[in-house]
Amino acid sequence: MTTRTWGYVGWVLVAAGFAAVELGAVATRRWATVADVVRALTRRRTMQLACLAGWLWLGWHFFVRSSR
Amino acid sequence: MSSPPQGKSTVATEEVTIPADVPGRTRRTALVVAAGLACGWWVTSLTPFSAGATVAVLAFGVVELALAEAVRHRRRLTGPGRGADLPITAYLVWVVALAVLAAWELFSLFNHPRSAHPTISSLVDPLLAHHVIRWLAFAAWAWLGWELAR
Repeated sequence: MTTRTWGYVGWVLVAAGFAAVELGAVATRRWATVADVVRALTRRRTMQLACLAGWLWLGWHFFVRSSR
Repeated sequence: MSSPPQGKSTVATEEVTIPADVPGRTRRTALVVAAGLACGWWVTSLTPFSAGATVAVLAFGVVELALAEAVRHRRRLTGPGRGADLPITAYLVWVVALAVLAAWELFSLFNHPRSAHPTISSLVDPLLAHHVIRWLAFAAWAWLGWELAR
């Protein structure tokens, strides 16, 4: 495989890993789901504010800085 | 259990408590969501890298956070909390997953050419060039912010 292919395969594996973790959590309840993570993050005010700052940055990055 | 006589309608016997203002609240929620979607369509039509786009995105975010804060405040006064904590080990798998994501993103970011080492931004940018996809992504971003803030 070329380097270019590996670059994309890496992202496919990362995405598949996230999907597997979430599906495993929902199916087995042995670890947290995404919803549990969001609830845990938003329970502490400082963590919530940090997440919201990151969220605003994401919006700026993808909807202001992205080229069309 | 005997079945009701034919030709007669039945009603549910369980008592369900429904707050009196639910229809009004549902209508208000629908209006706010519709206004947010319309506003999102306008925001995502603005020219990237412009001051107008920066102000619009940040203003949208700030207004949404203010609304979520109001809802959060009301729920704190009247409603239940957000559930009990899971043990810290329940989150470890997500820490590992996020670490892998961050490592791959940084590896891609510091390697060139970009066509061989795509980052999240370089993968998403061509998709966001389409206004409808950009708008849907904006709606997803707004929903995430609501979930984090409320």
